[in-house]
Amino acid sequence: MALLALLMATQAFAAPPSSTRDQLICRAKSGLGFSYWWGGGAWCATGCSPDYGCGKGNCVPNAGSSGCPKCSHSGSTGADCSGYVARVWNVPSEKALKTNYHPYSTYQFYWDKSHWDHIDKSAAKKGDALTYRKLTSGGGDCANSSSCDGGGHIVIYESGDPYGYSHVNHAKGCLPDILYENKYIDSKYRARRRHNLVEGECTPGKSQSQACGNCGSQSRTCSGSGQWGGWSGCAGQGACSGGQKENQACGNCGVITRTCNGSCQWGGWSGCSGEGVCVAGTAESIPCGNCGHQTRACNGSCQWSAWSGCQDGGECVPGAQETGECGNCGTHSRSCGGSCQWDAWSSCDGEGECFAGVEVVEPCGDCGTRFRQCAGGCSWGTWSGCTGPDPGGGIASCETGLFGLCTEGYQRCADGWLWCESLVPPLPELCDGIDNDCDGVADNGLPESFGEAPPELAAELVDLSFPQVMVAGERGTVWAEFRNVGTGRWLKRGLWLRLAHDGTAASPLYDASSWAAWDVAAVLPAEVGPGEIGRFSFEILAPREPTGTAATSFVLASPAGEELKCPAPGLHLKILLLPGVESGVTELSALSTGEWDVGEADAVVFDRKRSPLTMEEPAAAGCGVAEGRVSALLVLAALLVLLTVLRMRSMVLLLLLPVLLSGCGWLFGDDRGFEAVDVVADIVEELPPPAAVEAVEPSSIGPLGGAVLQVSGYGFVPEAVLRLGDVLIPTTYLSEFQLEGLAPPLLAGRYHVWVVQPGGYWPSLFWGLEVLPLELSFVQASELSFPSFLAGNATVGAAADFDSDGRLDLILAVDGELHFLAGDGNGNFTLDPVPEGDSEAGPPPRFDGQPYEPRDLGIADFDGNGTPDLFVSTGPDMPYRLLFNDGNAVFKEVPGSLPMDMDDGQGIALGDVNGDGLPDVAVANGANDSHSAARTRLYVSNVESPGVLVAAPDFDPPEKASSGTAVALVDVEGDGDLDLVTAAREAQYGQKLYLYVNTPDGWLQAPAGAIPPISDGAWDVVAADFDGDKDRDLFVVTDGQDLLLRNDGDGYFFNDSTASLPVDMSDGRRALASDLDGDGFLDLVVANLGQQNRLYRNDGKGHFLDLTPELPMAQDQTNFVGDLDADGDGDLDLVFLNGAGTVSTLLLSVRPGGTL
Amino acid sequence: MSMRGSNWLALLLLLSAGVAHAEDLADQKWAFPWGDGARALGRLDPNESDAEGPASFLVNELGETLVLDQVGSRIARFDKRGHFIDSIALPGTSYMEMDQLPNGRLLLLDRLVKRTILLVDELLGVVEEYPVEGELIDDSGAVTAMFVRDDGLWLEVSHTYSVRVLGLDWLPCARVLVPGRPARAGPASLVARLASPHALHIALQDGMGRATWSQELVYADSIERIVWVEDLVDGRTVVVVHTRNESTGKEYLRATRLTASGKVEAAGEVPYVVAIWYLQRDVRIRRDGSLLRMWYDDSGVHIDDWRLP
Repeated sequence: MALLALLMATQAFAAPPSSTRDQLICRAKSGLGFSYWWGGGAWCATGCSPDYGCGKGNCVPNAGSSGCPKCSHSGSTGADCSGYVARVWNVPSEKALKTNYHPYSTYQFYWDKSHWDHIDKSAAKKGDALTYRKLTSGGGDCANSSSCDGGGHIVIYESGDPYGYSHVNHAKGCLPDILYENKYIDSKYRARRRHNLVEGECTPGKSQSQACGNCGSQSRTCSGSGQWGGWSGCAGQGACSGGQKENQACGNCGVITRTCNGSCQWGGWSGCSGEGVCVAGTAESIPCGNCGHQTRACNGSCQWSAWSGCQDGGECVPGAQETGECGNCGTHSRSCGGSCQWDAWSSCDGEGECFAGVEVVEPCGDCGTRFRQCAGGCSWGTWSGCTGPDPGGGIASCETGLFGLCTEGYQRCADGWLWCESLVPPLPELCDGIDNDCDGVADNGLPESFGEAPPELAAELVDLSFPQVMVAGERGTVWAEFRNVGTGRWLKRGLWLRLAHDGTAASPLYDASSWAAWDVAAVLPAEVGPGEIGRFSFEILAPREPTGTAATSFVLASPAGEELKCPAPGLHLKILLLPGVESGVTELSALSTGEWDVGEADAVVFDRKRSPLTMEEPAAAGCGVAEGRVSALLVLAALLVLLTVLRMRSMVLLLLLPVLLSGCGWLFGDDRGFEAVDVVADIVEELPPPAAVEAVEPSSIGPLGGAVLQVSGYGFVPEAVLRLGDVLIPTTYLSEFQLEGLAPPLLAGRYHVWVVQPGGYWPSLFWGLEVLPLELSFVQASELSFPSFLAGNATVGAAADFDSDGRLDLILAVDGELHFLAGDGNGNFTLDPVPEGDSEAGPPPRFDGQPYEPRDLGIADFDGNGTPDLFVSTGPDMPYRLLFNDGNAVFKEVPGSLPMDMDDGQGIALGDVNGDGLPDVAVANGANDSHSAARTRLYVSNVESPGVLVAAPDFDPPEKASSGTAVALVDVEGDGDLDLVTAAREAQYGQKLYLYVNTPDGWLQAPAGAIPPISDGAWDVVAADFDGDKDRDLFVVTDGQDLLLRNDGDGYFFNDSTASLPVDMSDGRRALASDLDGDGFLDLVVANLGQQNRLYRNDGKGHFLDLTPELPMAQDQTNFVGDLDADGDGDLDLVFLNGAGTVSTLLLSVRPGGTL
Repeated sequence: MSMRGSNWLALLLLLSAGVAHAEDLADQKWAFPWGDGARALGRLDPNESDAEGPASFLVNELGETLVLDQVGSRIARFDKRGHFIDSIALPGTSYMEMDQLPNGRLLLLDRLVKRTILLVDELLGVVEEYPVEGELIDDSGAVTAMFVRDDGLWLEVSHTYSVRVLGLDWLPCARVLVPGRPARAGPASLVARLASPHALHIALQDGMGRATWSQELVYADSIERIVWVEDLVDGRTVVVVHTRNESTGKEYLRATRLTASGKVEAAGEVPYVVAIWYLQRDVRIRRDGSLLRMWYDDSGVHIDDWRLP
């Protein structure tokens, strides 16, 4: 037992192998990463690193376990906490790590002191262990070993941290494996320190050796205090140090080498390597250059140095030839001698005319100089241009010799010559009274642009009218309007329109009766201020000998002969001259009872068929009763009876009978009737008649009627009645020698004067009375008579007796509303009188449902109540209006009286297109974006319902005439039914005039070529027989030259404007065809926008004479012109409706002198 | 060692009996039994290895308490009254620390087994997993704390320096290092160390390492460890130490609140209960500077309010 106790004691206190703390940590690190192995303690290591080659092992907790031992392990490596510490500490004895060994549990570590000491926790150092044991039950510290059987834990302490925590290595648990962790070691832990720890740097008694010197070695021994002793001396060295090399020189700077081997012994010498090319310190020399030499030396590295420069050489190579420049581009040569020196130069050959680069300067002109330079070939270059400075520094004044502003100048030197440059260069001529282009003439060349200020006298042509075609001997009217664009005032008679002095010949159009002089066509009739317009009008006379074209230019000039220069002070006439009518004229004149002026008796001279007595169709063929011819027949019968009685003239009568019988042709309307009547008259003259008309006073009267005619003669009876043509007039019997009659309104022309009385014999005076056409002249009615509508836009009007008082009234459209103007028959109109109405209900509105935006008005009795009703075409998106007149000029609409068409209504035409005796309406429509199908409308009166208009059932034009402006209903073919013409301002389908023909098969588009193409926009169309050929022609108002289209009788139209109308390029809007002068022929009035309105007088053949000077001069925005006898004096007056800002006017027709 | 007047005041405060005893200040709030039930929390009671209890806890914006019951492979959630709400399942039992992101997601630290950071969404579960070891962190076992800051996630190494491992978008970023712990108002950091067995030194350093303020706290009892150091949003700092009286053996947790300039503002203590089971996270600091502490005994897990005056 004692032995056992001794053994046990010996065993219990046997020291474990000594170990340093680092060795303990090293073993601890070698176990990191191996698995937790409850009851195990083995792993593999390589030094201080784990060697997982033998497997890490694996621990898996049992399901629901609260920790090992309720876990399972696989593999042969790993450790639990106590096994880990035991293997780290290598206690109780050294064993191979990979051998599983678990000598102690935490119980022993906590309680025993066999191989470790219990130390204070605060004194723990690297490599010490910290452990706790858990009470068997409950908490608290272990009091004794028997109460601490609840398990425990142990860690290897490595270091602390700033917070008092510890870095430990431990087998933490089944999942975490063996690891390094920072962890708080609380007060339940106890510290343990292994025995036999070596605190020094080495294990006492251990020796250590190392290599030294040349393959020698030395050693040292660890002392008992764990410190190393010093190294011993280095023994066993070799001759050299391994790898050491040794060199020796050989040859020419060569080297031999030997190396020390690993045994610190020298190896053999190598061959001589790295020798140089020469013997160090030697030198050599060679010839060079021209008789020179160069040297080099061998340096210490046995390498030659570079050759030195060539020394002591001559200047040339013996035998060499050299050529050089000399003189002026000449050359010379020399040779090199044997001593390498040059011989002398030869003479200089081939010199040029100058020395290269030399420059010479010489004067030229009168102010310049020029230079030339010797070129590289020693020949002179060309002379430069002659230039020089401007004299006087460029500000020496001089006279240029030019005119106007260019007179003064500065002296200049140009190309060496002095000249005078004007201060102001010639500029394009302006209209300013200044000679801008310095040609001596100011404002020449008709400059259009003005300078800073226009000249005092300057004019601009703004409007012009002249006949384009004239017949030989015809007289025509020319008028021109000029605007005063100068600064001066034009005095009355202060400007003349004279022939332009581009020649000395007189004008072929000279009219002595009109012109002031052979070269002065007209003088300014009234004063014209700056900005105002003055009109010059004069007559021209076509020469009797036609020359094809007559051209004359006129220009405005002062009475002193100074012509106005700009911008447009002249006009140019170019007129086509046609031959006139031959003979017959004179003979007919001889047969008449008076002399006629050829120029006046137009209708009679040029058309014997036209009777001035009537404007109706000539009598149908056959022995119808022609005017005057019944009387002639009675005379012939009486003559036959007389001659039979007398017998003496029977032979004469027999001879005359054929003449008489042949003269029967005039009974049938033959021309020869005139001759026959006159021949009979000659015969009859020989026998005194029972009564005769000898004179009529006055023999010429105007067309308005009211003149008292004194008819003198003999044989008058109290029952006598005077007849003018075929019109019986009120007659007063004064005596058997005198009758008095009251002339009615008659058309201009010549009339036979008959005395119709019982007894079978009517004395007469052939062509005894001449009715002269009115000389047209107009004066503006005062604003008291006719409102001016200055601020309003007056667009269209209509005249009729709307209020049934027997006097003409007016309805005008102003600013989109209709206004009623009641006329008093004396030229005075009252604007918008209040209509009579119920005193209780108040006056009714004059026009039901305004405003209408009226575009045109049409007047007809649509409801058959005998009063004029009103058809109104309206603007876009508004229906047309049919307003019924109650007789008191109160107009009401009746729903359902008109289809609800919402076009952009324009011009209206009224007529009976279907021959039912009821008025029908055609309306032209303008272009409207929202109404792409805008077209001409045709409405016919409903026979069943008076006052109701319906769309014409068969009117559907194949092509839509949009942009329509006007429409006319006219029988173009002469077949008795009305056709339709629409005018348009823009070309649609290539046309601006559309003709629709009314046929039994319906409305058809006119065939191609029926209407000639026109270039300008058409704004109005008027259909009438302008040329007296019984068919309907067309007058078209355009925004350029207005047109006269003549009907050939079959509905085909030909443009005869050039021969029929004066030049007129103004922007026309509306036309009026009206017989203003009472001659039976329709004259024309044209309303223009912003330019003079036109007045043309028809000569009866569709040839229009310009009477525009008879209108007041005005450039208004005229929208409309209409005619009416406003003052009841029998002649037609004119109404011009103008746009806003210009005055609408009533022009009263007056006689020369201004009388009505 | 010279002490300023404020330090003497601090010492006086610490030594005076006027400091309220822990039992007067701490009102026990919740207690959870050991076990397997919904409300019970798990523990490891191994033989020859480390014992464990719930490693960490936190209280969220809603006042709910989340306890890292890693033994139970879950996070247990309780309401303000300590009633169990639900569990968030975890894929293992090796998580030792937990914190919450501003977006509500949770970060869990497994520093010893998988050595990763887990990003968990309450509804989606595990969203991402990032390694801990890498630049500036050689051994995950040396990680001593984790901090969620405005600029990302920081991991403290050996209570010496901190490394930012996740950036603003909570994704791995280029790692940077600050001494000590990252202060809330960056780039400053809080550096603390045991200066002596009875004193600790703490300083707020700027980005250049210069001290904005420093303070030395001295305790009558010896200091076992510095438990926690953290600054508040308003710039104040809370320091918690674990002391042990060498004569009586009594151990306390002592908390000191410093002003934004490092002056002692308030202090308090609670008894420290030594338990067998290892506790990773003892205290949580609220925004207002009050504390919550977790501790174990044989009956279970306790989480208490700890309010300083």
